[in-house]
Amino acid sequence: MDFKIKIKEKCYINKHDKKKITALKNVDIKISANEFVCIVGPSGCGKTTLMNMIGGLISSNDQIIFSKENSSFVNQNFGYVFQSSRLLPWLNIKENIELVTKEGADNKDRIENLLENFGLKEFENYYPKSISGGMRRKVSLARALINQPKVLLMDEPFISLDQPTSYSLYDVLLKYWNRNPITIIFITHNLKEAILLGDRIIFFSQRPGTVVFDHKVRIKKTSLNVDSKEVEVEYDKLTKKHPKLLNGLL
Amino acid sequence: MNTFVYNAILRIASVSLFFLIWQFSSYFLDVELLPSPRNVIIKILEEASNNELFFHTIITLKRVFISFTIAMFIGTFFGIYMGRNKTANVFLDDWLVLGLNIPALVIIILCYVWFGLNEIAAILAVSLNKIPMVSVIMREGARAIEKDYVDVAKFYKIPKKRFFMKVILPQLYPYLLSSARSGLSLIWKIVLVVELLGRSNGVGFKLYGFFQFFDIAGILAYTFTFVLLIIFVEFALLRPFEKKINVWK
Repeated sequence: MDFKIKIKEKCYINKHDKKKITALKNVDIKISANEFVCIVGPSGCGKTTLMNMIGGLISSNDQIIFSKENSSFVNQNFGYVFQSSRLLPWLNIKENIELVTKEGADNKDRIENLLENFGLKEFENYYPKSISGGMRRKVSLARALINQPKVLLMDEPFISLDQPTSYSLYDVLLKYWNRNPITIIFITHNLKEAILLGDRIIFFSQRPGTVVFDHKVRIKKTSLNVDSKEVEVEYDKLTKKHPKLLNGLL
Repeated sequence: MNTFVYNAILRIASVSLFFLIWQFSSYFLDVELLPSPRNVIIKILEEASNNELFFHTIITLKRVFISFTIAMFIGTFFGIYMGRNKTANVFLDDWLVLGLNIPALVIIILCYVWFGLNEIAAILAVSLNKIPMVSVIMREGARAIEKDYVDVAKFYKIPKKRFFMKVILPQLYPYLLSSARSGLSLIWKIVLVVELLGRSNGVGFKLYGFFQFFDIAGILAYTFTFVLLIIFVEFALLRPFEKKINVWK
């Protein structure tokens, strides 16, 4: 299922100084079904605003238009892995996943399978406070996938994790994606992470964020190492050809 | 020594010290003015033996329970509503300030004058005194609700009932407990005044009788019985509930 995101302008008022801030301007992106799209851009360029608009958390005032090719797009399942894990601390791991399940659906088996596949089974009764940061992200990912979404939004989901933990989460994510192809929109500051995971990288400018470059990634995903030779070559190629792309990144 | 035992010893020591000071003071004062703990216990047993103590205490407990329930429900509703809705907050804020500042005695007198010396007026007077305080506490609770968690619920379109029970209510528990505690301690004091002014039964009514005869032992006997009941509610209901809801901490 393809869809388009078209935003003419998205502004908000700063709560402190009441100044009008333009977060996004002239954003026009077309995303194909089951594509893994990474959005890369400097801090404050409106990436999270864009994600929240797609997810319906910020009103779009008709400035965001989904493709007419499939009008049921907005009714399709979405999953969202937020920047922080946003697990409810008073619910245990299993309850956190159960919380977002659809009423009436046969959720029990799916929860069990997901817990098993993500290696969370033995921690299902643990509270978020008593598990590691990496595991909390894993639970957050499991929660986003429990309703078998068609589109998965991921807002810097692996930020501030150590490398082994990030790699294990890449592994979990890519294994799931290979088994159940879905559209993923993945925000990251890390260009190497984007090269490693994505099919395509969309570069955003400084605020007001707009698309400055759209790049198709053509590497074989043989390993999940951001320092692998393939990633390094692609990274060098990109940064040499478009040195300004890295402005404000990393 | 583990913390539980240590805390238990501290509590026993504290209560013992209280009774020791009381006993000691009663030696130096007129026994009519400050009866010893022993005399008060004798009075409690005396009142219990003729069922007076149970009858009046149960009546007061019933009034406390009904007023408390009404005040908690209405206060919680308005508190949450004001905390989550800016227009409602601006509209009702002055009412709340007014409610908080009208003396309890004025509300009691007005209720009795307007509705007569009856049970409804008594319950209404107590509830009206407590509702503003519950509302203020619950409004703070509603304001403190974490937007991040609400966004999760909003994004996944969680059914309303589940949203309230699993996302909102757990965040309000500390505020509910706080208003329940302050509610209990305040309500039973107001109930006594209400009974003293316009009822023909209940602990407040009995206290008025004892006051007429300068029967301090009687006053203390009923006071202690009621305080013990409130302590029982605290330890048998509120503390276990608090422990249960805080297990994740």
